[in-house]
Amino acid sequence: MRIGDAIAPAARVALVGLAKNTGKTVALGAILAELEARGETIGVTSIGRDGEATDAIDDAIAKPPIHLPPMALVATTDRLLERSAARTEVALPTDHRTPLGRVVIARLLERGTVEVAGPVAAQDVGDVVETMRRLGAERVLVDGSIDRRAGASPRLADGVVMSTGAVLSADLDQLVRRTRAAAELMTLPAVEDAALRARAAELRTSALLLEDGEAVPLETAIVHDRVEAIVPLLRGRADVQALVVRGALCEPLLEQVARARRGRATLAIADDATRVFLGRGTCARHRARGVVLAVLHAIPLLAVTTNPVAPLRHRFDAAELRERIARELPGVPVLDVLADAPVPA
Amino acid sequence: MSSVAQRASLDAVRPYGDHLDDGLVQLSFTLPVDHGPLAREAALALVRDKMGLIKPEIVHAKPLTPGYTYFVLFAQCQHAVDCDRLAAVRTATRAMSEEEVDAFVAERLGRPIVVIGASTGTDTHSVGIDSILNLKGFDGRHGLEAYHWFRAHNLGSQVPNTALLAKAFDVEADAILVSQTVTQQGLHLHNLTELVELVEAEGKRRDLLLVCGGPRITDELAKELGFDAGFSKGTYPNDVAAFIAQELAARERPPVDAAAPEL
Repeated sequence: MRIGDAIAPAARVALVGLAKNTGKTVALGAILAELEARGETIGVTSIGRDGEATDAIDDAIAKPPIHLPPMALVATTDRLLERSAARTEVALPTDHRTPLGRVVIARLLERGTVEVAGPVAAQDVGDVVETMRRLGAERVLVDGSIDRRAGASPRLADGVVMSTGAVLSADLDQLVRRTRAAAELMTLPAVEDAALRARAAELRTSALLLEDGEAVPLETAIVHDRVEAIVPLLRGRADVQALVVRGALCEPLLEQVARARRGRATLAIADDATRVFLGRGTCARHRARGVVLAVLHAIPLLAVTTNPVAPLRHRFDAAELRERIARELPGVPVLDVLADAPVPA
Repeated sequence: MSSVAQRASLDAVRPYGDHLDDGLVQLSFTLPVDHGPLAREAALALVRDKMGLIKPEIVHAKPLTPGYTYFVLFAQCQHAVDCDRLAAVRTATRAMSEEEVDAFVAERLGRPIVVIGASTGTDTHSVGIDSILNLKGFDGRHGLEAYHWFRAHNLGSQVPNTALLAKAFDVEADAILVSQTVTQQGLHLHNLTELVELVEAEGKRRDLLLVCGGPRITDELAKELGFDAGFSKGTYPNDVAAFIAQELAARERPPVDAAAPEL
């Protein structure tokens, strides 16, 4: 399968890397090339600015430039556009401003490179995505920098392409484990019980949902800081149906829930996977302790790309890496876009 | 008055020695070679053949200890840097002193700016955040605590991102300042992106200015991480204060007034 086929079901595609230098920009380049060959009108945006030609940490690492085809739409800022060598026209200025100037949606009049810089807040990026769709983009790509996941939120995107690579670990087993854990987190299942899902979606604040239909609201401070305060609220209660967190659902809270529930199964619900923050833990570890994670809006994982090279450090065999990851993620297309790419003429 | 010629454009800036665009640079280094003709030849070859410089000239050579020679050389740099390009991708902040910042906030915002800062995660270095926030500041310039129109909260070092965020909501912060020592492998990058993601997950990214600082943090890296600005060495508290004040003022202005060219 080619990456263009893998993303076919999603009109809005988010690109997420598991770390810096996992090959996300290369994946973006491959997607652009395939979509152009299909004659699709493409829009590209990012959350904030996605960096320049060289790596911002180590300038010995060159980043591949993103070549946009003619007629592609790109989110950038007025100041960055002035500096661009490519011939463009401003399709629409937006109301979003960044420290680099006002965000504009530009249309390329020839093949070229324009620095992508969308609004800083994901919510505003959602507006830009919708605007690009209105302006005729058949497919919009939301490029996330470093290891940022916010672009994958179902509010912005219909699916995600995740990039993993050798840079995650010099130990192949660990690299595979970490990729599997990240994929599991990204694809947290939607709450199955439709009634429960509807009740959770109606909540304005975080709360404990009880079986009798009551909701015990939780203060923000309990959710984020004084997480131990959830223990007395949970201890001895047999009627807790689910813990619902509106906003960020973080590992320290999950630890306390497990402690309070002593192995009793507890459903913890977040809006979507981009709002779940696990430190060292994995979904499987929390599940083993009785805490089952679920979301109101699931994120389809369209494809995983593998990059066998850790720049200036180590490398794995490309085929072996891809096969190992593919074995862990049944049903998900796992691609090495460089190895799979046709040799350029 | 200076009679030094000023160039109109900054698109090809070269080092200045005796006259504009001569590209003259001074280098100093030590080679582990005994002082003598061979060491001199090695120093010249290194600069001429490996460093991208031309016309190297040794102006000082001194034996340090047997087997080592210290050199000072002049050479010509053939490359130029495009400052206009750099300026375009930098945060444009007008430099302001403490007094100017206070006056600006009083006039443009008319309310105190609430700032909260910490050195997050496992990072134990608090010197950066202390020098920006604490009353004493550094190098004779007050930290934000001393500003009349700033309310500064310093949580110290090794603060978890979640705790920083909870406190930021608690004090209704306008800006979060994070100090972080990013290592060559980018070890602490995840800690920085996680803070941004947490703010996003809470739906508060529009309402909070996020600023990071540290020895290896550039404005460019900060933006890539999802922050609004990044500050590194050579930054004084008033630089950070000026950015926050001006950025907040720009955000409070309706977008139609934004300083954007007619499109």
